[in-house]
Amino acid sequence: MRFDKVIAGALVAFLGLVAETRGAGPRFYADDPIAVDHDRLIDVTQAHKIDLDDYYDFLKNTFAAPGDHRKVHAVNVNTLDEVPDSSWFTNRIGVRAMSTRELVRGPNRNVRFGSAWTVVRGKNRGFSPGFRAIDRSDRTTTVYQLEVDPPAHPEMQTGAEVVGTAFYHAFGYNTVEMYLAEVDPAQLQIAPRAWIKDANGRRPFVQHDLDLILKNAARMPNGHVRVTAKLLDTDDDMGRFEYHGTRDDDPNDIYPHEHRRELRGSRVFAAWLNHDDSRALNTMVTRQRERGRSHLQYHIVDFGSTLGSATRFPNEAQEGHEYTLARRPSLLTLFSFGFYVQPWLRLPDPATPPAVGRFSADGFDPAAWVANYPKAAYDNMRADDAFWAARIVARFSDEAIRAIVRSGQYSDPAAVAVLADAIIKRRDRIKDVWLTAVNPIVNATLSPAGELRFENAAARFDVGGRPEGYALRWSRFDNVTDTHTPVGDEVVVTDTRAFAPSGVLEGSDYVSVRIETRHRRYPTWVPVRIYFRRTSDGWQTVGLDRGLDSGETSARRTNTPRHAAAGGS
Amino acid sequence: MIAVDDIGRFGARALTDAATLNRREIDLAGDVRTMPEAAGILTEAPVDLMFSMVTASGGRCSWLRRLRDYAQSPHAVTDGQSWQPNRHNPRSHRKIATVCGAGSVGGFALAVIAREMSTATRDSSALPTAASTLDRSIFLATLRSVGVVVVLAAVALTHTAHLGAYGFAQGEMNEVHAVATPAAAPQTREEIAAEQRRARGQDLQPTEPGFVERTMLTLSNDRLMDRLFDPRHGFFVRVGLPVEGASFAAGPAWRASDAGRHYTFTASLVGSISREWLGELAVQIPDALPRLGRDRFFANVSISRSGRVSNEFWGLGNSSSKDDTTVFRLTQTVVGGTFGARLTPWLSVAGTAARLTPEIKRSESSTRATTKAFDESTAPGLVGQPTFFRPGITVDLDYRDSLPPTRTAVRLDPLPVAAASHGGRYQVNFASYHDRDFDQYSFRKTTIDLQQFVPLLHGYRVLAFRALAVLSDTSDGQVMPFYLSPTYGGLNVGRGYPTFRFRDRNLLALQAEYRYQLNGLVSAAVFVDSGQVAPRVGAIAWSQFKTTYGTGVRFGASGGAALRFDLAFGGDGPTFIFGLGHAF
Repeated sequence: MRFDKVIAGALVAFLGLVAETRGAGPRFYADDPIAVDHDRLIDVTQAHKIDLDDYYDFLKNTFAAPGDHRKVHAVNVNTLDEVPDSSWFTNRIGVRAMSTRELVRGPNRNVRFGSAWTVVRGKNRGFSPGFRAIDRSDRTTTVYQLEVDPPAHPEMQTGAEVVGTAFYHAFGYNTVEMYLAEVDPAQLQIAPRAWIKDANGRRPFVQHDLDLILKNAARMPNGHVRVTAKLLDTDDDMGRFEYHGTRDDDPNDIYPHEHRRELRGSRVFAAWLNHDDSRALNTMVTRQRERGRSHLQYHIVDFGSTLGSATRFPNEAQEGHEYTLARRPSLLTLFSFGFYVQPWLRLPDPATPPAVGRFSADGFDPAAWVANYPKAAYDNMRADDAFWAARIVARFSDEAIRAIVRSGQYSDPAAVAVLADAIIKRRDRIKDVWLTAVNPIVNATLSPAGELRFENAAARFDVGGRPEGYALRWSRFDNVTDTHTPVGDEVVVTDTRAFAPSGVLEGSDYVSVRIETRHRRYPTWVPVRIYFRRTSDGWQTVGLDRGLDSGETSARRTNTPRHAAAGGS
Repeated sequence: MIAVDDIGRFGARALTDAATLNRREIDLAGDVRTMPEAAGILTEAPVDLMFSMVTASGGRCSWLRRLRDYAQSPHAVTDGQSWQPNRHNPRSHRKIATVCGAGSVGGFALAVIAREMSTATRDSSALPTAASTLDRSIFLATLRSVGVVVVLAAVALTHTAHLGAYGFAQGEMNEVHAVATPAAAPQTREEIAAEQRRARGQDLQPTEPGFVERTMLTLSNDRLMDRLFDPRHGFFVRVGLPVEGASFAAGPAWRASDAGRHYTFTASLVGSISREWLGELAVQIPDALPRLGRDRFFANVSISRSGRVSNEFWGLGNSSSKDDTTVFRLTQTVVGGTFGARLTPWLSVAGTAARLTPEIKRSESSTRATTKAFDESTAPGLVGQPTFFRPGITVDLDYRDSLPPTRTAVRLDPLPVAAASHGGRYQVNFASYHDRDFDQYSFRKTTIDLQQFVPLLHGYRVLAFRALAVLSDTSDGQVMPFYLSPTYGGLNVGRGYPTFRFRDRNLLALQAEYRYQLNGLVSAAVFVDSGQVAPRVGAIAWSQFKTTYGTGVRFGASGGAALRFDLAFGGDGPTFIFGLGHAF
């Protein structure tokens, strides 16, 4: 045999072996479940500011449906089906208790403002009147963007901005610092080099510009103007991100946005707070520098259109219920000469104080809620994405909600009460709908002695009632071949704890238990499979599969669930 | 003597056919190569042959060929951490060349030794005969075996040299394995993601936005629409005519204003698709006396020359026949001003004074001329047009919700493109026309315009009502010119009838419209217009009303009508209407 043929043969064999093992891969790796996605690995050297146009974004998402519209399993979750910390999201209230102080503070530092400001620049974009200014009592001369409330609805937009920021920060998103401040018009000054951009280009910012803004601003009883002061990071502002695709300048951005759990699930948060203006234009990407390396950080910003506010006026009745352009209702209305009436049109006008705008829990359907126009990430939201978000929503207690609403500093106690009550009721709706959208088994552990403990997220938050029981099936699991070897018979328990059958824990580094929750009201719940890995001191919970993609069915499945539209397959 | 094509190949036979050619004299004669060249070729022939054998064997092996091709390709490794495709690595190539060369030399040396040993076997006469024949055979066989082994070793060495050359440096060895053998399987989830990120980092290609997106971004960032239609100063496009019943109009304009728009001077020239035109110089002062009250007083002064090339006239009266169509051309010059006060945000009073100089001429149209079909008795003012002095006062109570800041509105000239969903507007104007030349055509005109909007279903359905009355009276011996008479018919009043279809001294028009929003950008409407012109107020009778009806679609935000398309019936025939803004 020729020497070269021997060499070649050996290499081919080696190639085949490597190809085989690399293509399949074990189900679990040594570092599973990951708690942090290290998406700051590659130094971002080509970042550039990506600007988006309002109208183009609306037209593109309304008519072209960009992105991958498939309800596949979210691609950035860990093996426990949770979202790891990353430059997109930091687990906060979802994984730990947050004090009221922490909830209310949000992303803010302990900053106090005076009422004497100097205008340095006009505000050239956005719907809300405002300008950029420096607090003369601030030695750091930090520039803030100030925005005002509409005269007919004092505190509406500014309150929504602050409250929305606090909520989204608690969810886990990156937001920007947002403060409430007061401006004394009599002490307002204009910096010599202040400028504004109008139809004729850049020009000096003059008193008339300021007068126009103040003319369209609500006044406080003392004559001052209440504003939001938003901290802008202009030097490292890299523009926006879209709810589909990836940023073409970020090598670390490997997960299509429409398949990121935290973006899909943000539909639930947006529905809760009626953030109908959630879109790419209300996002921000900043460049962060750490130890000589750069990475991009992704933010959700601009909450002036949450709750009952549409920034310059209250929400229209349509918002949250129907897209700006929705074909079927439009045609029905046209050819019926307006006699076709959408269900949301029949809802009564909520009797709310001016500072609230239009916001209530009446007619709120979490599954049917829509933003102003479609986006791929929202369209792709599945039941497991919504379940993840609903668990976070459920962790907000009534007291926490009231505290966050109070941070809006509404002068009318009725506004606080109305807002908080509506948010609480909407939270409960979300719990009812999404905590029962999937088999709600979470937080499973296996003790060294073989005691299994798990939690029913729906039951924990008093949703859905008590199930009849849990059917458990144990098996040994081969991590390399991804196969199960059943051990023992099915065991039905009524409590959220049970012991593994004898023999299942020996002879294998991995075991799994299939938990079928039997609930009369939810016969379509798919069994959940949980995986444990042997460690030096016991068992580590390493994986959770909700079965939405595995074709698992409940033995008792009968009807198509009403959440099938948002479901997995 | 034999002819050969390749002396090198023939010379290489010294290796392969050594026994045959040994001690033979070979006479070389040739025209292509010089003698020194021929000697060199012959000397190197065995070596080249050996090398060819080696590399030929490698070429037949596709794996080795791939390795060789890779070494010769631009692919190379820099730090063993990442791939740098299409980049030449001279260090790698030098090492490959060196080792291959050494391998070739070593292989050649072994080949020469083998040849010498083979030659030595032929000189068996130096060996003992007879009794040592068997020993000699064994010796020769041993030598040949050793020779074969040496040759094979030379081949193997050359192959190994290739492989060794490719993997000479640690990083390069890794790379070779990565080409022929993928990298070792990742051990952690983090490694998988890291590999993906590294690969993405190598292939990042920032994309440029498409033409449409770039254009829209430029429009927004540079505020080009504002620049085109409503700049603070400079040239722009003026859209619309401030005349009742005017069709779509646009034209160039130039504006001068200070940064605060304390004043605005505008020069414009506008023409419509119905051949109406306007040339105007105007100064607007939105806050005329700031010391007496911020934004309390307003004023404007203007000089304009306007006209309508083809005005149709069917005669005065509600019963004018559509067959009596005539046309005339009307131009007029107006010099005047307004001074007003905003008493409250919803109530204003303004006084006006103007000098009006109309002129009627024969139209260039092929339609019968008004001057031919009518005379002074049937069309007062037809023969001569005086200069008028026109003072007036207007009271405007407007509490519609379409006013800023509650609803968005894009105002192009004074056309109301925003949509009111509730509230009302009540406007009363008293004007007096003083004939300065003939003392025949002086009259007084009172215009009462009442509009009311009733919202249904949160304003997504609106019932809009309008009552418009234009009443005139004259003193004894005076008559109202026909061209200044109120009219019924056109884009906004009496839809379904041609513009200015009915003229007389008095007008009463009632309009009702049911507007329903289809979505955030499109709305539709069903409307009814009914009205009458009459010579005296007492002659107005419901039985004489002309009624039209129709439906339409409007494009604009939140029920607004930036563009309006109506289809009206019941007039002189189905009429298609294209307009800017709602009818009222």
